[in-house]
Amino acid sequence: MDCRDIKKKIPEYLSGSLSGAEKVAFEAHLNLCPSCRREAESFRELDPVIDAADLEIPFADLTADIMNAVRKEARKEAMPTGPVQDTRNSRTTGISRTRGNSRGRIISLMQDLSAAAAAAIILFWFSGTVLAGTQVPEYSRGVARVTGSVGTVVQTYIDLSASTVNRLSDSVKSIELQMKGDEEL
Amino acid sequence: MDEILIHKIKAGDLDSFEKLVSRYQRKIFSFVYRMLVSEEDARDITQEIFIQVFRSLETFRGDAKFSTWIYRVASNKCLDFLHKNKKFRFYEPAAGWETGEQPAGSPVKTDPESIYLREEKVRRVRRIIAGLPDKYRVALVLFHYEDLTYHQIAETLDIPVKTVATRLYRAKLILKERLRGETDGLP
Ligand SMILES: [Zn+2]
Repeated sequence: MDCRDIKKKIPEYLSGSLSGAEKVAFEAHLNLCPSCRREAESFRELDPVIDAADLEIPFADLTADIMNAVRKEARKEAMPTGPVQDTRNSRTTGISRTRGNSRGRIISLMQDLSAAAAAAIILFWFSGTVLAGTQVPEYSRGVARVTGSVGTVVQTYIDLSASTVNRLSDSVKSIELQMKGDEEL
Repeated sequence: MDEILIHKIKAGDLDSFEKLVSRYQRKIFSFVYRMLVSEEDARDITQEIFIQVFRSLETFRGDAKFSTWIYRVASNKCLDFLHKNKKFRFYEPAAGWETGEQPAGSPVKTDPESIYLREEKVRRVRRIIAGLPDKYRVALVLFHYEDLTYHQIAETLDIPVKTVATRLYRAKLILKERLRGETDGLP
């Protein structure tokens, strides 16, 4: 193993997951090579630095709050045919500050997606010229003034769809990064 | 011990769930606080985590330990929250940042300048840790502050043990380089 191989193996060495033979070879190299030794040491030296940077945790006993919410949840489960209104009430009061549950988030994403689809259709019809604001297609010139407010609606759809696309591409990006990152070493 | 409680909870015993909550709420709150660095958010998310645990306890089969499973629910919630609130998150120091614990070990110098330098370093390290990519940070928090093993972290994050090692290594690599004053991160 040369220095490059050794440096690649530092994380596994530090985690203690090198096999017996690999560990022996690794340590043998470290004994002979000051550069790799320094490199491995410098990572170990960071442990106390990281430990010292732990945050002071504020005191919190959330048991009562959590149980209030859970008991409401349990009552709701006990009455599966209960009115929808009831369900929503218990959810909002159950969690001190609701952020929308995952189901709600999915629904809102679906709404964004349908808005994006609608925007795509409208954009297709207007061939994108409404967006640029410079030119209105021949066939719609007659209704251009009337559809001033439609323009705003289109803009809203576009904003919505842009945010949806951004959000989607964000998550795709992070997945890509993660895959790339994990395979490098 | 957890297994007995879970068995009772599945049979509809809420008092057993309360015991489970009081056993884990401090641990989970601490973890969430370390991830979100906001007391208010940490309270909300901790509550959501336990409600999620209550809802999906039916699907918990016991092939993982409950303590690992609840960390998994908690990690997912935290990462989800951080991802959704990305644009609001800058690396500004929050409340807990200014009161640094003294690093343990080595003789502690007590003159004002040494104290200042030490606290300044703690603050820098905290800022750098807060600025790490979430997936590195969660591994670092679980290993250094929650004292999980590599295997437990692998199970919690559903990644191979080798990837845990890599992420912790990368977190340290970034920390090392940024402490040295090179703020552009990885080459
Ligand atoms: Zn070498």
